[in-house]
Amino acid sequence: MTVKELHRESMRFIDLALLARFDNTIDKVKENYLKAFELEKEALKLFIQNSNQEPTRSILIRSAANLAILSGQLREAEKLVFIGLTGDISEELANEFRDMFQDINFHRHLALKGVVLDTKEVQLSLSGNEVGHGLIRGDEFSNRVHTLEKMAYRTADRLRNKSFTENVSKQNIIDFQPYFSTFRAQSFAVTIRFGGTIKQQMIEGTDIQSVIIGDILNNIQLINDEDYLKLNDNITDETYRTNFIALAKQLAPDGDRIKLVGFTAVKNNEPMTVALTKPASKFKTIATKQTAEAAITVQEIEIEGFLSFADAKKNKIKLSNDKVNFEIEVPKGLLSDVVKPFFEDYVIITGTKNGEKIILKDIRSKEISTP
Amino acid sequence: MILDLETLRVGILGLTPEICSFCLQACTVCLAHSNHQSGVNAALSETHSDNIQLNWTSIVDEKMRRGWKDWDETTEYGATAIAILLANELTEYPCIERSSKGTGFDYWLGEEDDIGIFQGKARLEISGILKETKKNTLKQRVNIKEKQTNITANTNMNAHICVTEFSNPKCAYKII
Repeated sequence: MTVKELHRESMRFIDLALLARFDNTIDKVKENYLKAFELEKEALKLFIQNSNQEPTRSILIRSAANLAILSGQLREAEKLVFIGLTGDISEELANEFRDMFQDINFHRHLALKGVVLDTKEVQLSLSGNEVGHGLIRGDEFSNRVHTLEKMAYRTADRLRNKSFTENVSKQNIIDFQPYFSTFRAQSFAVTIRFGGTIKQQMIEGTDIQSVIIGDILNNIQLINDEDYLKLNDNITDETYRTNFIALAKQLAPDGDRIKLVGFTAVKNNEPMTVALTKPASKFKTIATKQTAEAAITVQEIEIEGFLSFADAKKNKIKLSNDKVNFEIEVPKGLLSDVVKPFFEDYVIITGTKNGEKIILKDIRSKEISTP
Repeated sequence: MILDLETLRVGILGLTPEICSFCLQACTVCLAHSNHQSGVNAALSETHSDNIQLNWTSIVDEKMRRGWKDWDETTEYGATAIAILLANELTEYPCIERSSKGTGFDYWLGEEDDIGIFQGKARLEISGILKETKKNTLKQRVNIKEKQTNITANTNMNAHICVTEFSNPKCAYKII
């Protein structure tokens, strides 16, 4: 096969991976990415036997390296990135290779490197432009820890078959209060322990914290893989599911300040790692049921203003700017955990508008929003 | 100019039927979202000016809509369908090459070449807008894409920018 034929065949397998992702056949996604990687690698090998022309060489290398990451061949990706950086390439391409290296390196940082985790503990690792060696911008860290804390409270209630209530129970706050280790300078990593003294067992021989951590990490992995069908099976209650997806979005990287968010826990004496690489902007927004008719009449809108009023009983908020006031309906599961932290902030809200009725889909701070 | 979206089904410009059909479906979902029917007109601006008639026979049903819940993604692939067809009509390049890049693709316009795949080709930047707003217009999006493309100006390659707006259909095709 020629370089072109190999490359085209590789792209065909990417197409199949893309279609498999839409069909929620996640095993097929990785399988097809692996085939695409092997073909792109062959195309690259054949190309560099005959030519060294840029940008073709670097673009093929970048494509192969990206496919290596997507198919979990991290060592292969690492080798390709270094080969790519040796070329006489544009600054834009060089930066793309550097970003890829950061991505690959981050997966290494998810390893525990001698740190012993208890089953009640999870290691949170962060990497990005606001992360130095053992240093991190405060809000990027603290906001994610608070979000993880909320996830633990909600997951505890859900696993105990309790109905969703906007306010977290005081008992949960006592039972699952997070405790932190000293920070570690591998990107930026910290061990979080949920609950200091709780002895309650969920299943014989298993503490509830380890069940909660396992459940949270499984569901984050599903969101990262966009396997929403399986997520629906894991979190059957729509309010809990809406809440979980919105919180996971707050944990997710923004793609600049924080590029990667990773978790490591211990399950059955083996490390379990989950890398949340999907940027928040690429998250599916809250999946609301929509009829064919509604899909035509409902309008997607984006509005901004001060979040100055919230009615917990009616699940409504008010947004005001110089020109107009908006009343916005908040889907169940979002008011306390997702919307409340933005109270009295200048925010951007995306939502759907049907007639005069606006329903919230997403909220973010204007100050920290990215283009 | 008439663009028959259904020609994508068999794959064009070297792209597979699978990905072309995928983009076609996203495109018809975007058009149906704004209640457009086959035969709707779209104004073409920038390097080329024309009036485009968009024709299709696919029926957008509830099942299809359910598969396209993420409007950012749907708009991106819908705009890709239009960009492929316009590149086919407006340029001499017989193929579009893609390469895997992060979460998306790089698109390149080019010629058949047995040695390499990208030489002497032009970059194709694609973008879509589901519904134009004051802060997100077709013109503004073209300007953003143009600025992004300037980063790679030192490659001495042309860049083709194709932006499609679906609610009041219009397209911009700019060659820089």
